[in-house]
Amino acid sequence: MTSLKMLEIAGFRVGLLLLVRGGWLWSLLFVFEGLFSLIRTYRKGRGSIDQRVVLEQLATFGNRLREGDAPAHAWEKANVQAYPSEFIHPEAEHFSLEIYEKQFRLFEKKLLLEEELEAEFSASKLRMGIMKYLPILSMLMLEGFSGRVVPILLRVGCAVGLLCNYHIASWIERMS
Amino acid sequence: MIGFAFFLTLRLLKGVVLGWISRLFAFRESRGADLLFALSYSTQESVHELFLLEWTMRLMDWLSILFLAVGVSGLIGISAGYALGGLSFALIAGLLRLGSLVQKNQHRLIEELSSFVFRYEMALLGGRNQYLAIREASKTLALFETSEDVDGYSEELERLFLASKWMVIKKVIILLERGKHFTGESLSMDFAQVSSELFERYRRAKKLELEKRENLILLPMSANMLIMIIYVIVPFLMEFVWR
Repeated sequence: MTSLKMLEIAGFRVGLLLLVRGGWLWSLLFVFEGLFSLIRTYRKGRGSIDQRVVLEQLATFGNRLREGDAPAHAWEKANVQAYPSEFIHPEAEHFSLEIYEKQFRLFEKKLLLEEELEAEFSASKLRMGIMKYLPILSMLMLEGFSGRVVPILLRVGCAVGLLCNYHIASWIERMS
Repeated sequence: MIGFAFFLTLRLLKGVVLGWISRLFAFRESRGADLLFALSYSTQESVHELFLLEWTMRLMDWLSILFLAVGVSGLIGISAGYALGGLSFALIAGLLRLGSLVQKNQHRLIEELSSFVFRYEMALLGGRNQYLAIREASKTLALFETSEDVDGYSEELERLFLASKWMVIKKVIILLERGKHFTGESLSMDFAQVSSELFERYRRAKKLELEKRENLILLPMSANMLIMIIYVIVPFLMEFVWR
């Protein structure tokens, strides 16, 4: 998700540079702004843990337990990065495969429901994402077909306006 | 002069108004408890009173600013309409803020309850007794303090039900009551039912929220359309009109 977001940011800034082309000072400013957004997005996404990866690691851990490994050994082999705090700890006295499997099934069910919800709303999020890109693509297309020279001041003004609206739209999208 | 007079009167009567509101609040019984819960996200009466007093003070401060602005604009010869316009804007912003606060607290309640039920079930499956399982799970709920027994938690949830009027909370209370007498597999159906209801609520709330966001995003998109039109029209104008 973070890499997609970064691609989106980079793509939009490239579109702005294509729109402005020739105004070196403004292009530089847009590049700096783009770099700043990229770094901020990367930092935000760095700490997050993918629940799917956690589920796979827990499944591996459970498989090893079923094969007869001791909990400590299975834990080491499974290399679980972020063991959920709700699960019974492998070093707990009353740890058993039966308890672990029940908890795992419940965790898996919860995750699958969340993914189902995410898939249901992904179409809406995709629409919102496309709406941010449509104007800049339309403007590049129209300029190409019209064959007219657009003054640099107008190009820069429109690019700044598009960038402000992009940030407003991203803020609205982030709140969902 | 009238503006200054009203401003001074309001500042002098501020304490009287707040005391009057506090007394009215004490006598209101349970009227408005659901709205106050939705706004303050708390079942405590003291928090409700503080919230009410906070917003009353804000309103009085805004009215003071309005009267002062009217007085000053009268002195320097500017129309008082600007001050009224500013106040209207502030009032709309305040109402929108309260509306979004209610929605945010509703979402928060759904998420915290879902987390509570999930953690409670996980803790029971992990072998903890009912009291410890509830205590572990209630760490995700910012709404109530730690209780000494299961009945204490049931009372807290009862208060939450009275404030929010959500039947699913009643089902969670019944789940806790059944947990005193039944264990393990016999509760799994109850857990499944409560989780499913909470999930449905969450899905509905999320769907409404996304629809609202999609509509809101049309505002910057309309601005983009305007930019596009200007971008296309201006070169034509420059070529045919301004040559």
